[in-house]
Amino acid sequence: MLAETVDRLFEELMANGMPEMEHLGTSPLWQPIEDLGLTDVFLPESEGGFGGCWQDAFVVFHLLGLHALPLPVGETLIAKKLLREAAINSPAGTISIGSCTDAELSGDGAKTLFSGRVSDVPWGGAVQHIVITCAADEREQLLLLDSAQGSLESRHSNEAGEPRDDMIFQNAVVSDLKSLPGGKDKALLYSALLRSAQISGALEGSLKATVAYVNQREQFGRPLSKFQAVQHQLALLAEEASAVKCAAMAASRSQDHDSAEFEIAATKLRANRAVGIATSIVHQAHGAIGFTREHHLHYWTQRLWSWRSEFGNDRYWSNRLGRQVLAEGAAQFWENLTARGDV
Amino acid sequence: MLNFTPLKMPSDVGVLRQQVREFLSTELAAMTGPQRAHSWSGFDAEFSRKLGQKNWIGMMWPQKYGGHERSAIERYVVIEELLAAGAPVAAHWIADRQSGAQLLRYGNETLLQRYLPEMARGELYFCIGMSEPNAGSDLASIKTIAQRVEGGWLINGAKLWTTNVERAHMMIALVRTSKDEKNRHGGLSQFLIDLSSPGVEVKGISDHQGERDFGEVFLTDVLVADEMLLGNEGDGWSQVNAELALERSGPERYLSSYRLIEELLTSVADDPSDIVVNMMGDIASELWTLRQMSMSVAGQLSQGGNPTLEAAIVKDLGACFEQNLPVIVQAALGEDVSIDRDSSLYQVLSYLLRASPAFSLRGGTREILRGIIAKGMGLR
Repeated sequence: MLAETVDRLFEELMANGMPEMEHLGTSPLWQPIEDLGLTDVFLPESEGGFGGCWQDAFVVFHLLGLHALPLPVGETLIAKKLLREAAINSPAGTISIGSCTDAELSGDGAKTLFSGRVSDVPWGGAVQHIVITCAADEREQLLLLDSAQGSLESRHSNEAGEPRDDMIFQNAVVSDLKSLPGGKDKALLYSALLRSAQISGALEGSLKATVAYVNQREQFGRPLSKFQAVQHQLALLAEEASAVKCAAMAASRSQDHDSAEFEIAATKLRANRAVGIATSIVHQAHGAIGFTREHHLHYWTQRLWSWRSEFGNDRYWSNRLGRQVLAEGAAQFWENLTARGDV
Repeated sequence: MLNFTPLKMPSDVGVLRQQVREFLSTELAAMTGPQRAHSWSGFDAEFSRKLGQKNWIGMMWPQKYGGHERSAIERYVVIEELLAAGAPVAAHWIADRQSGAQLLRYGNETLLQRYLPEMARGELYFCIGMSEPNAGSDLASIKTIAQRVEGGWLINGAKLWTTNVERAHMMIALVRTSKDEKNRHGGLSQFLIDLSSPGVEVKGISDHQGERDFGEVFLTDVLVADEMLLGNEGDGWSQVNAELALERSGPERYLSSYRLIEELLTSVADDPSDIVVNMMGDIASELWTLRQMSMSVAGQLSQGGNPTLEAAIVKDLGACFEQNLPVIVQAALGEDVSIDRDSSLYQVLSYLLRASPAFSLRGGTREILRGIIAKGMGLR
């Protein structure tokens, strides 16, 4: 039900190809998302939300990747989840997530002021609010700001041309602020799960497009799909798409049950590894036409390249996961691996 | 297009898992790492008998034939515990995993009563006669024939690369019962053959590292009774393919090199380099993912689904993982990991480097699997 509705909406939003990404806050594309309450997946039904869980969120995240939708739907959804865990009321509109290591808080009691640098914020200059994790007053804090108060230190774009901005705040008025123990790592894990699910969607989208292309394109008097060399490359592509989808779904289910640190780490790493294999296969299968601006293949591949390094690249997660496994030791390895499935 | 809905393990499997672990920690206490590394090719008749006594063979079969009527997921848990521990399951492995199911699906009442109870006790061993000298991946080109004669069928031909053949008592063989020029998949049938019958000659074959897990069988005027025909005459091809589809995605498809992981974890120094740490992370990520995929297919099978495409995907990815594991471990060894040639780690690594090419050959080659996946996606 959720899947069908969201699938239809995203398809409509992308009906005219990749939209312009400027002026996102006032973009007519955002309103239908807001109207559907899509960023309130985690909000209880009693408060007007979906009353959903991570497995429901996976459906939305996956479809974001499948349609390559250039909107901060996932970021807003996760920002709201974090705000809720910190017991801060969520504002309407678009919200992004950032982390600050040099935060300074000041204030006169009536209001709190935030100064600090937040780098690599997805859609940073384009969203209405930003949720920032930081350590201040010797506690982990979560704070909510009107992002218009920030100055763009430098505008960056990811490989797909989506904003990834470095922002500076000078005595910005904090809308709300609460302590959130472990907030920085939570934000990282949630965002890594988001990107993993988006990667699974983009892999499936590009797989479907590639299957359609090799069935239609003919060379040497027959469709490309009839060549065994092509068939076997697409089989590998399907395997990668399957692995990431299964991992992301299983990690979402585990996160519904308990904190799924291991599962999310394993999933983001698996998703990252799939990106290199899959983007190579889909571009090879499409030949020169897939390398053009005009063709839609780059909707997926550019995002895949970007998402691989966001919220933990291969090195980060393999190191973190490896340290955990080595610390647990040989005697615990199998026991922990199976305990993570028996939930 | 691709269904990998995660399986929810029933909450009570933890008790069974614990029972298996306790049994294995006692039974396998004396086994070395290199012995455990043999995984499902390790043979121990006494162990199989004890496992039968614990009711962990033929777990899903009806009680009236000596089975235990447990669920597919319970069986999955037992199998993965056996494989993770490196238990020597080869004696009963094929009977439990494939032949029992084939008999239950296609065998008549006489055969079920005669063979299944002994199989469930872990005392009657099976092998599967499919490949022949000139028929490997192209299985439909087999030449072994069965001709109808007075009192049954007369079988002539040869089977090759038959796993467990030197120790097996019985073989389920795919043979040609008629020739259909228009349909090469027609005219094939499955027979149960008692390997002690007159006219059967078995020869083991040493693999390149001197192990004798497979061999060949020569069948010369072997007379088998009518009741030994499984299913319908001429239905052999579809029967065999259903069997292969079912056996593609179990825990044995990604745990063949598992011993190396525990050996590695045991051998790593206290302060390992990032090369070793990151490799451990990669291994954990891939293994966890494969297990989720395999369990998903098991869940679909237990609910009557037909995940042929998904099962082929699990097998190909699983075999790649099993084969890659010894390669990356060999490449990463250094001063922070013991490389002493007498060490358990080194011996397990050395065995697996040599054993692993078979992982993408047995039960359908990588090329056949990728063809099945391509077909599932509508490419052929």
